[in-house]
Amino acid sequence: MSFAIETRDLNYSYARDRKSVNNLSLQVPSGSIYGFLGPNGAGKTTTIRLLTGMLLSDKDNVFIQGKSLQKNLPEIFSSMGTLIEMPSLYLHLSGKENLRLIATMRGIPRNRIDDALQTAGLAAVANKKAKQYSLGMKQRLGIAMAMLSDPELLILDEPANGLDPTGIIEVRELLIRLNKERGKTIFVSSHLLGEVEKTCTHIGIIHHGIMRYNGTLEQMKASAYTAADVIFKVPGAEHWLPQITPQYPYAKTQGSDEITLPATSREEVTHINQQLVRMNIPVAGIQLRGGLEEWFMHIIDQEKDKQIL
Amino acid sequence: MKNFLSTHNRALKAEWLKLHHSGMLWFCLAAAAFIPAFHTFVSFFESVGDLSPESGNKMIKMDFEIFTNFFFPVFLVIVMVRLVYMEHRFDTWKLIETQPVSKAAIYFSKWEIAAIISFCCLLTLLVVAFLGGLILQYGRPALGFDQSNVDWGYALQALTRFWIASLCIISIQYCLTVLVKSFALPLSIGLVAIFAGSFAQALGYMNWWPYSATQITSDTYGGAPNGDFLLSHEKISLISSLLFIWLGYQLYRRRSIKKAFLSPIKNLAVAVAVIAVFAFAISVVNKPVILERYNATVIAGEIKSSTPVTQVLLLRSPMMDTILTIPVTTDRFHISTDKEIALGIYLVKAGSQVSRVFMGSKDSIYLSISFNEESPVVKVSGTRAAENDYLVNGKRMDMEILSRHADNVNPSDYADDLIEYHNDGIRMLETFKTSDRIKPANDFIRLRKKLFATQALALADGFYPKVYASYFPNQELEFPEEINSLRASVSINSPELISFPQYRRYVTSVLREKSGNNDSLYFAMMKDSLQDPYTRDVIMYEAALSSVIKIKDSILRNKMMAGILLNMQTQTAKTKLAEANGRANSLHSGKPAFDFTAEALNGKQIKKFDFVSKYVVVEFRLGGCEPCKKESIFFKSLADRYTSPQLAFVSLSLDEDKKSWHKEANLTKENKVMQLFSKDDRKWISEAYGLTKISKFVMIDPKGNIINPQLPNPSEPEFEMILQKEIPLQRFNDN
Repeated sequence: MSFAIETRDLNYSYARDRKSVNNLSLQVPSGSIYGFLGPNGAGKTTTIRLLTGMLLSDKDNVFIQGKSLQKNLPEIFSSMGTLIEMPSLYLHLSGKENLRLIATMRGIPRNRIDDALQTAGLAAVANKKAKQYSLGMKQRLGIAMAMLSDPELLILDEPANGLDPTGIIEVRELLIRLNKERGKTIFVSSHLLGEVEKTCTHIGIIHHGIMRYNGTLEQMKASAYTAADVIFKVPGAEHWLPQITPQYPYAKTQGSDEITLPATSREEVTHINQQLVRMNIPVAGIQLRGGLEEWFMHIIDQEKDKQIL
Repeated sequence: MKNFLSTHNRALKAEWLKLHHSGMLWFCLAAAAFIPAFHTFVSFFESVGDLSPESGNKMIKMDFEIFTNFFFPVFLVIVMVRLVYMEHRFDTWKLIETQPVSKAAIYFSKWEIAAIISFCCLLTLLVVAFLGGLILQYGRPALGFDQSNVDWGYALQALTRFWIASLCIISIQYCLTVLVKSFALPLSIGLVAIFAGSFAQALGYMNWWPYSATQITSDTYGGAPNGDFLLSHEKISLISSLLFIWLGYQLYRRRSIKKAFLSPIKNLAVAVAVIAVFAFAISVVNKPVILERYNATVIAGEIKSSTPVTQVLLLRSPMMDTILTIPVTTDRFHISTDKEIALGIYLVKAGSQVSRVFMGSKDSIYLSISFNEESPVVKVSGTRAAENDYLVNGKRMDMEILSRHADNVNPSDYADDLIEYHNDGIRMLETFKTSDRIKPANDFIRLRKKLFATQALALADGFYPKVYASYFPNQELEFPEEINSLRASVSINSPELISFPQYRRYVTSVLREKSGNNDSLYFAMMKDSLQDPYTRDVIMYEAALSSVIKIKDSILRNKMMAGILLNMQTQTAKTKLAEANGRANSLHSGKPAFDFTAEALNGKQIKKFDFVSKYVVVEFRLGGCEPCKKESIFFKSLADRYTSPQLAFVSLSLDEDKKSWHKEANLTKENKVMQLFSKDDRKWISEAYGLTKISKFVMIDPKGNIINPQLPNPSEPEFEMILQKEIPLQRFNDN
């Protein structure tokens, strides 16, 4: 399988005693939308800076489309479009001029500029100074600049940051369209799980500089399920618990009418339910707790636990 | 390097695009056009500086000088800070650094843009100054722009030098702005650096300071004394530009001083090595040089003049004997001679221009003489460039000032003052360098050191004893030991100094003091104590010449002259002295007065013959001594009272400076005294009428003969008595 981005044991530290990126190994398959997830301060931006050569790691361990990043600077940027943090624009120039600047630096024909403006929905304000743009327009201009040369790989750092819901949807749709229609590989960082879940095909989770998870969305959803609890609504839960514990030692009561049990699959939930009914326990309802969010918190907690220990 | 070359053009184009709407080009235009435009505007109302002739060139020069002295470095600092802050402000670095363009190309193209802006700014200034000249040519014809062509080669050389001087400011400021990511701080640092440089320049220090580079170029607008295209500070600017581009690029690439230059240890080693190489290069360029003597004695040069000059004379002061006659063909001259030319000061005479030049055998001297009615301009280059530059521009202590601060000062304090002045003078001499780092040769330094000693001793032994005697009568004058050591360093027998007037003054003052003001003893002492014949003759000649003027009794004078001439060996001195005595003899009543030529206030030429049929009272004025000014007032009041068509009061100025005469004479326009400015050779007329440094009044009859060669001062009653007695006028308008 070819990777659009691959890192092998990537390390970086700003200060001597604390690693911002710690042995990070990351694989972004070509053609994927890779969601790079982590809370604020997890090392997302540092990683992106390392991926884009803004920061250089001591070792040659970042590979873009199979080629070493460090050995191929700066021409490697020909196949790569980036948007790092807030879009950096020349505010005294118009949207069109900003694009022309990129076209000049990349040595690409100017007729792409109008297409890019069209795609980004900025054709109407092309000659307005970027200073007068709304945040969403700036963000879209930033993306337009990143994809102006039609690169195979887009690296976007929090592209939805600070946008209103409409803006977020616009950006999301743009990314999906680019991926589906033009087959671009998109590496997008975010701290919003829901956003990633809706857009991405692959997920990586980073926390405290450590890669906590790297896989497809499907795998992640499956993993998330394994970490879920099943809640059986049982009136008078306290009364029934001693009957269950011999068979299910992890059963706990929660409030007066809920019993929770860990379950690892759908079949197991059905099985437990049958057992409880056989024990004449009045199950009034079954509810699954957890999912991605829970799982995500769980992953981050692990890290916290480690730190406490 | 390959990446740099292949991506440089794209980076440069992108940098150029960024200037759109940034106001930078307008800023450049406004900064450059302001001074010449303002100059043009003001010139409609009054003359700014002295423009004519060469108005076009002078206007360009003046505008360049004003601009580059202070505004230009400030402009450069602002430009650089703005160019870089444009990226800092919204962190667009990360945008341009993730483009397929090498970082070196990004860094260097920004520098190039600044250099281009700097060049455009200077070019705009040149063009606007030229256009201003064109406007004035039609708007104010009086300024003489129509008669002057702009010397474009000269102007473009200056432009290029200013531009090169600006490069280092750009590079350092760039480095600084990349390091400090704010707007105000690098701007302030730049401004402080400019101010600090200005102060240091004013005090004569740090003539390598990069932020003063354009200012130093401005001070040496005409170029290096020895004709190099670039002065050393400009070469330093080029070299340090390269250094700071490298340093700045390392900082930019690695983000911090520590990562760029300190760690890992390899970077430190590289940085130290690079800085060492550049420091060495700068020290080589900055090192003063002493020029070697040439293998022949050569005098060459060029003359810029509207009237043709056929020959250039090399004369020896004070007798003005001709050492060399150099023919001039098509405004150029060149001579190589085997004649022994003693090291010293000579006079170069071309047409009516006389200027000083220091030289000797085995020197190759180039003289650029440009004729200018107001002020002679002679530039000396060649093997004695530094020595002649020192004589014109060197900062020197005016030791003569101590002749005004001697009253009631005890010998040890006076000696301290003398020694301090003496030592300061030597320090300045030894540290003197031309703007292109040439030091005077050691033979010159030796001579000058002796001269400092003679100056100090002229005061200590010639002047101070008289003052001392009047304040401390009956006391033995005793100087501290330092003065004795000065005495040991020089004696009155120093023939190598004879061309310097300071030495001659020293000898005469010492001998005067010894002879106790007895003339015959004075001349006898010269004969006995001066061993070198030429030196003796020169000293005698000068002393005799002043006696010729002083002694009015012709019998007494002729007798003394005969004695002096007998003791002289140099033929020129003898001839000249005999001539002077002859003139003195003929300068008495009944003999025809010498003709003089002069210019009146309205520009009309006046000659002595113009006064035929009138009695003329002439006041010969030489500059403005205070008692002379007082006498002038009496002279004018007499002119007001004695008005008659048969009598003319004439004030003939022998001032060097025509402008100051014009200014002064204009104030007294309504006066009855006719104000004239002498057009004669100063030396000739002074000798003809036996003039000294104070005003002299001569009366001439209607036939042009002298009635009285030396009237008393007008403030004295005798003046009026002689006037009434000699002039047979029936009646004076006595009001």
